[in-house]
Amino acid sequence: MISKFISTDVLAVLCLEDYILAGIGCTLHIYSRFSGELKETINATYPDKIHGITKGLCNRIAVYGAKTLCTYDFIIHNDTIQIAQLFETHRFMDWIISVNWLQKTNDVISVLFAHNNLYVFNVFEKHYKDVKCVERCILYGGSISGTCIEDLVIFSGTLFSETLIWTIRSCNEDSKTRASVLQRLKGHNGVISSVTYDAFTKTICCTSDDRTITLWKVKTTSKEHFINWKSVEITLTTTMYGHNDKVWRAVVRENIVVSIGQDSLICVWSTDGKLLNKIEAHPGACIWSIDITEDNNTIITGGGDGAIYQWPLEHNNVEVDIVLKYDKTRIPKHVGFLNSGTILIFIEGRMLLYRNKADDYPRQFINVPKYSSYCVMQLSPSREYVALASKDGFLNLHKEIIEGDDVQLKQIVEKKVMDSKIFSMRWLSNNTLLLCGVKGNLKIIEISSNEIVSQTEHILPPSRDCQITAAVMYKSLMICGDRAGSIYIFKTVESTLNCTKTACKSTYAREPVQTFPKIHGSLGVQSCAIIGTNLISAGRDGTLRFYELLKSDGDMSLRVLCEKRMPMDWVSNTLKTDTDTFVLGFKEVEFIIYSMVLRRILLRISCGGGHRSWDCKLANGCIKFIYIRDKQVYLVNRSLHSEFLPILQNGFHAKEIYSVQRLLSNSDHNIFISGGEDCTLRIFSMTESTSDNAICDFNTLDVLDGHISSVKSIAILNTKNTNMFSRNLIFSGGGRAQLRISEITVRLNREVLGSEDISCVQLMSHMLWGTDQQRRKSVQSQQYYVDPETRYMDISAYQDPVDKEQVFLFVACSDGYLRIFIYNIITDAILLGTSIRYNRCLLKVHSFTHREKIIVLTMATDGIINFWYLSPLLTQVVDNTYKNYLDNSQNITPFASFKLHQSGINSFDFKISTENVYLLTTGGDDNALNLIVVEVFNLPNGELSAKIISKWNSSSIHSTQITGLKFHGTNKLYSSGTDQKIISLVYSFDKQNLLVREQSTILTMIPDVQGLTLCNTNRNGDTLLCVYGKGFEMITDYSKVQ
Amino acid sequence: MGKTSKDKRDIYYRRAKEEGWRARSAFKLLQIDDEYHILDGVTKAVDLCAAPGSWSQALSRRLHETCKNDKKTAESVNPIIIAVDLQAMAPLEGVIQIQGDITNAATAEEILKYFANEQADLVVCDGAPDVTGLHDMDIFIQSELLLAALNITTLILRSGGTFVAKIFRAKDVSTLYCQLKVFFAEVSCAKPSSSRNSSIEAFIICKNYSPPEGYVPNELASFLEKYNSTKLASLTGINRYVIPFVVCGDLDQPDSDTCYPLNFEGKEYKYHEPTQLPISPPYAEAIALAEKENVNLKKADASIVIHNTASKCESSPCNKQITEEAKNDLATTPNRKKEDEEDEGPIEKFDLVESFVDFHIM
Ligand SMILES: C[S@@+](CC[C@H](N)C(=O)[O-])C[C@H]1O[C@@H](n2cnc3c(N)ncnc32)[C@H](O)[C@@H]1O
Repeated sequence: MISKFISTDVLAVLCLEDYILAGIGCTLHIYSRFSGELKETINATYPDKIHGITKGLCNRIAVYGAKTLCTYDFIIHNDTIQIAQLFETHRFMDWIISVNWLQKTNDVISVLFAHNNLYVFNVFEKHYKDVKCVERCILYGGSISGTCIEDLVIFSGTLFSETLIWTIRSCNEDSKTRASVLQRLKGHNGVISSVTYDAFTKTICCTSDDRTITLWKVKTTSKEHFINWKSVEITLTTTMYGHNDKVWRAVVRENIVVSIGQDSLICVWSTDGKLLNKIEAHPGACIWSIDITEDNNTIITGGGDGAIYQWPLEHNNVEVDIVLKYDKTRIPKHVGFLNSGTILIFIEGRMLLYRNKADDYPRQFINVPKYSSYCVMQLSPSREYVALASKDGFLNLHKEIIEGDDVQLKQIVEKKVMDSKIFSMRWLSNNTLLLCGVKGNLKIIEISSNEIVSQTEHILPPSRDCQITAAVMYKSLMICGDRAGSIYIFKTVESTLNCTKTACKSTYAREPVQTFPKIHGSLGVQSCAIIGTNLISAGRDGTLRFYELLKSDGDMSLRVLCEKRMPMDWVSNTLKTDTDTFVLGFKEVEFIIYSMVLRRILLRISCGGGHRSWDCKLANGCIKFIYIRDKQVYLVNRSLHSEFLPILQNGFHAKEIYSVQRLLSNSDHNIFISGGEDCTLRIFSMTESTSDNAICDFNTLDVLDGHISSVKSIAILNTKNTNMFSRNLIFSGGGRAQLRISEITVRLNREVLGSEDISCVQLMSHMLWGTDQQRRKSVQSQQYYVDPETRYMDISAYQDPVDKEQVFLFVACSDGYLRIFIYNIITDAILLGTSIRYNRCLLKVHSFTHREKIIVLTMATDGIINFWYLSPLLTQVVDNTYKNYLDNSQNITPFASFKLHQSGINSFDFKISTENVYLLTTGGDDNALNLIVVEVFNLPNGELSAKIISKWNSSSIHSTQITGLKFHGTNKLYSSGTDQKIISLVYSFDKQNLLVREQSTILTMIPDVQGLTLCNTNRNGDTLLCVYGKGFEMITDYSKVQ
Repeated sequence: MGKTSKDKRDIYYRRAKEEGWRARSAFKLLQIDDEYHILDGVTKAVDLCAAPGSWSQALSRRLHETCKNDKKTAESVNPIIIAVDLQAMAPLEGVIQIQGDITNAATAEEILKYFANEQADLVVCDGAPDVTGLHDMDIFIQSELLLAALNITTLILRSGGTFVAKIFRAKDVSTLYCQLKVFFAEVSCAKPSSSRNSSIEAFIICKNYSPPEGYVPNELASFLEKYNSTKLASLTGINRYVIPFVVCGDLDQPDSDTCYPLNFEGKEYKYHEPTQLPISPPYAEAIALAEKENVNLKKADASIVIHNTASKCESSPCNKQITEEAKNDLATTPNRKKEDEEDEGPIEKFDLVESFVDFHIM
């Protein structure tokens, strides 16, 4: 077995000229910094993980982790890179904390170990000296500085919140004398996670569990080269608080300190403690590794989500200019950019035009006194028209006229168009406007040859706050969103110009034809946009929602597809670029631009929030952002260029993965769906590359939000499969007793599948105890709510072979119940049919048909597997369905029970061997692995029964819990455990005898292994396995199966 | 709601409070004792990594009982219980407390003082590192804690005595099994039912202490070098050394993975205050300072810096001013994490191992 691909914690990154080296698992990855391309991988420290990479002179590199050390020479010639291993991999008895090359000779390396001792090690002579510090304790972090033995100094970070400084000079060859501690730095309240010393600035920087970073100044008087560490004065200068969790590492460069933490944040500080920037770099995940490029331009980070990103290191993050140099007595109301880039400011009944920020005076003043006390201003999509609306129903239109260098606004029309105040207004196209008056009265007007022509009128259903906040046209449909978070669809006319009066009437309707009440919560819709045949709405609930525009019998309607949670509080709108879609919005005081392609935040600008007028325009790779804050108008100009540093490695789940299921696997494609602790479901593809290095290519196709707690289990039901597409129902469940149902369609018409070949519909979410809102209500109504906080541990989906509309969902619950849901595919309705009480946390469930009978297996923390015959109960439930919950299933008992383990059964697989005879394998918390042959038969009285025909078991295959088991082919079994072993076993069953033999073992680099999934055998007959836990690894088994 | 939500999810947590234990860990020791009778006849015990002290409580209850019974028959013996932890611990009657790092040699010497001419019958260690989140490092530190505890044990345990310690069942656990087997005649691995199924923690029960000939106490590390994993791998067979795995606590005891309703087994639910307030976490100062300066460090541009000028510290919070207007206008998003924070139950903090692997508690 061989590892093909790994995505897990990135514990080490290092910049080396134009390359970035990164340690993922035991594999050293080498990327080109500018193209982002993966150039090379080296299996370095197996079976240990890479925790650090250190550079010596002439690109001599040490790669180390846990107890293993490897060294390499990198020979870099422009585009090519050659790597030669320097000496054989060295394994020590102790955990390596830090490694340092003694650059004076470059053949000598010093290694600091967790027991606070130092090895000075000549790599060629293999000669070493071991010096122990008098302070015998365990270190978590530390570093070594110095270029030769004489000036080596060791900084040890202890568990007891101290940093110790010691040298080895006083210690001679005999290792009996221990080095004394020269200085103790006391200033933290927690474990010291890292210590670094910057010899240029003579600064020591410590990070700690206490969430702080401290800077210490080493006071040397002259330019003396050797510091006398015993007598030198070291003072704590700065303590910095900015992280919300443990601070893990920090790098000092000139006058900048960059720190990373378990709170996913990069903090950039000046050495005098000023916070320059905070970047949420690996959302939801810890950041483990950091380096800064030699040119000091770029920060590289590696995270717990498996991602490696580059970030511009700009000392001054946001450059803002104040545009309006007015006294503060006047209050600017609206700002915007015209098509030419000219700045428009509306202030107390005047429109002011500024050509650029250098303008001291506006280029043009336009007085519009009618709008001085109240004004709604909107720019048309092309930014050529400015519409103003007044409190007495007037509409005023100006057009931008460009003549050479000069830009002017010219009024084209003004007219009273409504009887009431105009509350809001939205452009539907460059010549149609939607106006919203009192009580939800809507009016569409068209501007043709400087005339205002009224078109249709509509009305919003009555609500608390009847006001349009977003609108868009799609053919003859007008879609709008309101302040209360609802979306309405109106039938109107495409345009009066190409529509005869009668035709118009036939399609037009005053009331909405379709409504999605409060789809964006109750906080309001911010915008609607059409992309292709999809509608996207953005809301103040921090989500984007996707809809499909369906056409049937000439009628159009909308169907909700899915929602995406954005890393912001309000999503404002989307901006389509050539290669990407940007999402604009606000989080607290910041304006945020998020890239849908890169799936990360591109830009953050602190602007005080989005509740006042602002505008954002993209031109020539530049973002222009204008906003009002404290009665001033500010302008930000940012080139997006530097924000587009290539991603070196894409991220995956931010936390543990609990389930990976195969969505589609054939000779061309392997598509999986995964769920985990980070509450997301992810669809990803793995392609085995045909090139020599034979790595797999990994691509996340979609990320689905919507679970409010962790996802523990995923069940897939294939509903349709053709050459062109594959359609599946996905049932996912986990914490907070939540069950979600989605439909995922994969179109197969291309060789390499991308995000656009996946479409996903979130069909529904079911919560056993109701939503939080409903629950809060029940608390308020004084109802005492006894809630056992149920988790759904496992799900098995079973489609009724006769009535294919009906799907039974068997859910193993942590409160000791097996719950049975009935889901109707056609009506998309779900109902809790009944539940069976078992009284032990159920861990696994499986359902199958045995001679037209439905049999369900359950496994629990008591180590017992139970066989339940459920057909009669299910018939009863179905008869009862849609009336109410069936409550009398308590007396059902299993027809067979086998105690296979001492405690929890964590994994199993099940398959039919021959008629009536089944193969079952189980793995437990007690290290035991069972393989049993079970016969299911009828007793003379007609009742079902089961017996074990043959049994094999072992407690020595794994030394820990067994968390994954899969049958493969006719004679193979794979197992995985928290001991990180992946074992392939070969079995045979012959004359009632089970023979099992271990075939091969590989150690996976994935910690906390939760299970494994198999792909179909590829063209060469090899098997691809996916092992998951904290990250995932793809492993190929080259031994053939039968 | 916040107060009871921890109660809802964990029956042992609830019971610990009802029965006056400082942590739910107490049940682990009690269940181990039910199975292995490790406390029988013990009068001198050392509790390593003891804070907040529920094991010491259990030891104290049992040992005093034993001594009382003894008094009736023979000459009086007074029990000795020594509790050691990095953290300060609230006083417990009849328990001598030492604050220190058990991996530090100085701590071992201090314990030794109490055993001038006596030996302990039992050494227990429930130590768990403050997890870093890096599994391999946490597992390493845990094994170092175990070896540090073993080192102390070899200094003070009478021959035939018992050693019980928390162990992480993960990569390389078989090496530890082997090393323990060198010192004890009977070694097995126990999982109390109060310890979660999904957690990698287990307890190693080592009975009948019989150090190998030629073993010099305090030289454990160098002595064990020959039992190191890399070396063992070459001695095939040994690394496959299997020790019995035993689940303690029978089926009628509640299962720590199961969520039980608050009104359970006919008993009506009543909220109990935690027995012992939590020990302040390392970041307590950061939180207190942020509160004092009225800075929300979660905000994108919030930070506090303390400049330590030669004489005294002065604090200068930056960016703490956010306009009132902005604050009121900010829409709040449902924050998933919020709930977890509310739930940082005082007792559970010490169940580091479980919170480490047991992410399924929501
Ligand atoms: C799970 S708690 C012990 C709970 C305890 N048995 C009880 O029942 O209350 C683990 C303890 O190990 C302590 N600890 C961790 N590393 C230590 C070390 N190196 N020396 C001493 N104590 C340590 C921690 O401070 C923590 O209090």
